[in-house]
Amino acid sequence: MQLEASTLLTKESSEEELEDSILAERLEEHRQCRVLVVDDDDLVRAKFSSLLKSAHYDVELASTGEEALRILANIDCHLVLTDWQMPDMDGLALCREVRLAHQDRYIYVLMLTVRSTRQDVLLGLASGADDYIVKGAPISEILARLEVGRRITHVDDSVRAANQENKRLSLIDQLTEAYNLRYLMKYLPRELSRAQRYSRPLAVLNCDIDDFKQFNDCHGHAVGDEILRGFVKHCDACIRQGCDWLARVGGDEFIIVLPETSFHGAAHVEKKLRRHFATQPILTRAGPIQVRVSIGVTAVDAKQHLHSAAGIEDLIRTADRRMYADKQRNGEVCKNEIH
Amino acid sequence: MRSTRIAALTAQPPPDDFDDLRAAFEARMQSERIHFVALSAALASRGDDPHEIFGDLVFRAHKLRGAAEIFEATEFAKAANALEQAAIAASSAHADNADPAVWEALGDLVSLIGSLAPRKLDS
Repeated sequence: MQLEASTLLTKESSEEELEDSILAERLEEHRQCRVLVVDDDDLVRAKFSSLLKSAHYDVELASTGEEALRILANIDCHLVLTDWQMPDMDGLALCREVRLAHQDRYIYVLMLTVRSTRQDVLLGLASGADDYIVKGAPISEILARLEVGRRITHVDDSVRAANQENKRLSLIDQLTEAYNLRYLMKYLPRELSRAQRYSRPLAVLNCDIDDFKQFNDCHGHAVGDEILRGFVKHCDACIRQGCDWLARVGGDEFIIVLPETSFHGAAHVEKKLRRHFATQPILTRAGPIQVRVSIGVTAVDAKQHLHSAAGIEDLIRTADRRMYADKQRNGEVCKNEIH
Repeated sequence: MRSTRIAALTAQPPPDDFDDLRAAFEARMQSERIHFVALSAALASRGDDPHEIFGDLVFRAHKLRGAAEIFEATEFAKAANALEQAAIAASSAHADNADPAVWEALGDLVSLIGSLAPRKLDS
């Protein structure tokens, strides 16, 4: 009797220890985790489906490696629980395929098999499995190991999301959501190389908001910021989406890149921009504000062969020079309007 | 109060679901018994060329072993493993159809399944 009581006590305390040691509370409670169970035995699939659903996993089932790959190609799965020996593609081949095919998210693979020699385990892990369990292990152990997979994929997802966001922030101007100078320096050379390789034209427009400082001085920086954001929206409305792009390279200076566009085509875009800014004021908290824009246009002809580095410099310098010439003309126009 | 995650680690399927699966597994065992008896007959008639039968025995025993482990039917898993290993060894050694280890393991497995009372496994 005493022995029974002590056994019971030990069991209870070990369960408490297990609960205390679980990091569950630190994880997002409601984060969905989908497990793909791959086994050619329908009863084994059914049993895991039932168990995993009751453990709050979303479950997908596959009876072959081929079917598993088809599911993985269409449905976002975090974990794969796979048998080794299956008809057609076995678990090892499946592991290799998963590692080759899914580069953009980490899939945690747990191999569950009756093969239990040391060599089997090493072979399974070498093929790309993250964990290896011999069938016959208690269900609680299998679930605990799946929890490890859930934790690891959660961390991996977070790191990837943070990296993606950092990458985005490093190439985007936060104020206007246009690309920034870094993006321009990274991708304009590529656009130029592509244009030269395939003998295609490429145009660049250098744009600057006239008297932007005055807007800031008169209405404050908040309105200045609204003008910059409005400027980007207006430009976006005048260029081709998914092909042309715009980068903010200075306070109120922007460069528009027009791939597959000749000088003639760029001049057309320039006119379109001027017309747009002349007719559509930018809406700000200080009311609608009409802005005037100086634009310098330059283009690489399909037949021109420029050395890449020099080409970029020439392209930007020419556009810049023309933009300043335009600004001078605008200034004279302003003076004429005032007098 | 136990967290969802802790509950997940100690989760068990709903009883009805579990019973249904258990019953299906037991039915599968009986159908496997018939297959093993048929394979015994085929093995007995194969004389010098039993290798295909050894292959079938390995495949079926392996599959049965996997399911038995998952359904915690340990004795059946052990018996199926014994047959799988015996058939692998016999096949590798190019043994004839009278290989004693294969016959012993086959007999043990068939009788073990035969002794299974409906809805009562050793787990």
